[in-house]
Amino acid sequence: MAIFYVWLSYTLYFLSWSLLGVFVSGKINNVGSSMALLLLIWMCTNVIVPRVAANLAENIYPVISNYQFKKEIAETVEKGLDGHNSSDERAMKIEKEMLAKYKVDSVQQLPFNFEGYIMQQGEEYTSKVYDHYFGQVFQSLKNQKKVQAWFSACSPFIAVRNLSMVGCNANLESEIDFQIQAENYRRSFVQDMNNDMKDRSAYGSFESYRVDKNKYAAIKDLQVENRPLQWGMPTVVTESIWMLVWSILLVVLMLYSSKKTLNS
Amino acid sequence: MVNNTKEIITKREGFLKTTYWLYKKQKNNWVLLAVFLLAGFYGLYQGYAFKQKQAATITTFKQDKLDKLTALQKGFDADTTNAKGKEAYEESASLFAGNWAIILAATKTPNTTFIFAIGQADVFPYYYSIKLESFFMQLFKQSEIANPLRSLAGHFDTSFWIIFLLPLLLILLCFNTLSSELDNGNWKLITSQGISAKKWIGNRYLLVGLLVEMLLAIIFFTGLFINYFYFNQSPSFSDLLFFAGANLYILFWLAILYFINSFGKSTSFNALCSGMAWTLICIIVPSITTLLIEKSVLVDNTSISRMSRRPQGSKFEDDAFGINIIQQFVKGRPQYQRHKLTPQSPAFKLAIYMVYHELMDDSNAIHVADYFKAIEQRQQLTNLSSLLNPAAALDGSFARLAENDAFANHQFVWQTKALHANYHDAFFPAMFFDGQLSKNLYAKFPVFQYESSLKGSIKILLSYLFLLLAGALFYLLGGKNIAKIKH
Repeated sequence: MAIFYVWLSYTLYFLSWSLLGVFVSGKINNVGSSMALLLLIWMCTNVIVPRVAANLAENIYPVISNYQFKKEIAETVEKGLDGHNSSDERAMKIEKEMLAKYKVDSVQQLPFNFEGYIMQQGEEYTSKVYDHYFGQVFQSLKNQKKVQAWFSACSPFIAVRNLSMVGCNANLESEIDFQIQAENYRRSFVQDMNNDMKDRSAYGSFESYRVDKNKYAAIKDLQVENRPLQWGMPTVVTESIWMLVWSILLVVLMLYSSKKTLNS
Repeated sequence: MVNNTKEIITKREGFLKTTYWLYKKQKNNWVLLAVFLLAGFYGLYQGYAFKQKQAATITTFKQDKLDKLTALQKGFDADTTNAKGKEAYEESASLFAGNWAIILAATKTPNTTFIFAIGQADVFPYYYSIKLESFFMQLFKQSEIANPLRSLAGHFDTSFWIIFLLPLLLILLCFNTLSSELDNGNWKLITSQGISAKKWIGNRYLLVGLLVEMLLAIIFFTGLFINYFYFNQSPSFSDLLFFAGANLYILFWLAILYFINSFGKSTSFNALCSGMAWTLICIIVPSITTLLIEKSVLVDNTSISRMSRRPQGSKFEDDAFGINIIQQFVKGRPQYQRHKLTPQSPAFKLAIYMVYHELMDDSNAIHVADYFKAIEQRQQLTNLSSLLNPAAALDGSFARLAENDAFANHQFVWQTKALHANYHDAFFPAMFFDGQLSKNLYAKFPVFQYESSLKGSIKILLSYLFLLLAGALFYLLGGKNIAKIKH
């Protein structure tokens, strides 16, 4: 299915160029001049416009610097997502809740190791913060891609590039999806470890606690799920429309100009 | 003799005025110039925006690290009679806390030419946070957030404008210099005035060259102006070299077009040849050259990719291993030979860890140097290929002048490594002898000062010389051809 889709995209792309070639040579009788004009069109659509599109997209939706990104994450983890919920306060709140739930006076009396539990709670909160900021970066990139997609109106190259990337599962969304899958795997691994500590050790054994060998052996490798073609299709609607518009427009132009030539 | 020269100049001026008059009559030419000028400004804006982002990040980054270090230093003045003050003092004086909290900043300030050539500035880091642990472990963990969409397309900066777009403008303005007159039958009329083909083309090219030069100068001086007023940077020698390179490239393209026109063929032939020359010089040859260079100079990053992993394991808990590793370390560093560290010393565990990291860096430095060398070799081959590959070579030279290439990045890395080594020289005596940090020691921590990597970079001139030679070759070949055109 994906191969057929890539084949179809390139067929439409080459069809557009063939039609453009025939149309231009039909309009300009001189071989050299028509070739020169086609070359100029190629330069603009395949070299200049894609570069302009990428640069303009980044001007409109800039990506934050890594330093700023890390700084904001560290500050948010420390102060809380709403800015009024510090990490100490969060820990205190969790402790109180647990003590009330199990009706005990101290964390040592809890039926599990509170250290493992609080680590997992911290991990979950940090993950929320990371999701928030990574989400912003991913959104900037997706918005940039949307801007670029609209440039398909003046460059079929951008359209076919994005369409074939979807067909080959090498598009931006696929890369983001892979990163999310890897991150989810890491989180489940950390959760497993924290829960193991919570259930299999006593409070205060942070330094001496050791993970069982079998626990490591039971951890499965990351299985990356390759998304089907349908998954990526909605991300290239604009490109698909412009690719079709290019092809149809050129067919219409060809028909119109050949009709005119025959009539004259 | 003087009168004769004056007469020639007056004649030339008169003829140039006529050419200008003919040129001025075509409104399309002015539209073209305006469009390309706008594109030039857009390229300059890209350079400005990129430079501005880096400069702003560097300022806040440096200030942030400095503030944290100053705050740590203040801990020594804290009132240790209360718990809070004691905690602050402990954080400042403790070797363990210092290991985590002390972070030095290394930044690569964008130079003046940066505004014209972004080069690979989006790929290479321009700031590093430096802690006590392994330098290479830290180094390869720190990189900018990649923007795959921009990397895929490239930058639209002044460098792109010069290398890709100005030749297009030259083509559009010059491709039919002679052929249009030949095609419309005016050539006989022109020659009857005693004007030779060489003179006709020469004047037209002089005019076009001056107009394109004017565009280039507007963009160049605007860039210098922005540098001066927004970044507080005066023009530098690298700017001058950039301008010289751009001019040489314009001359090179005029020589190519002169050569194409010299065949005296039709307008369509010239347009086709010019377009193909652009495609060949700007797209095909650079792609093939890059591919060949990549195949001939192999870069293996296997060993590098592992360096960012933090060394861990139970060995660090083993006293015998610790004693052994410290002995190994002091062998090459006699200043620490009289240390009194024992497994009972509070700093022993930290010392094992740090010493292990430093020994790791010693052996890794060789692999990193080899890796960098291979990348630099690739870059040098590209930059010096200007005789055959002028566009990519000039692009490489521009990135070199803007210090946005691999070589500049590697120089920055080695300078940062020197900072890390100086930091060790200040911290390690406290770890080996004193057992804690002191206020005076904080004053000894090195401050990073980036030194330009351009000093003695003569290869750029060599690249320019090759470009000049390539242009001269086409000019001479064109001259030979044009002599054959009948008056």
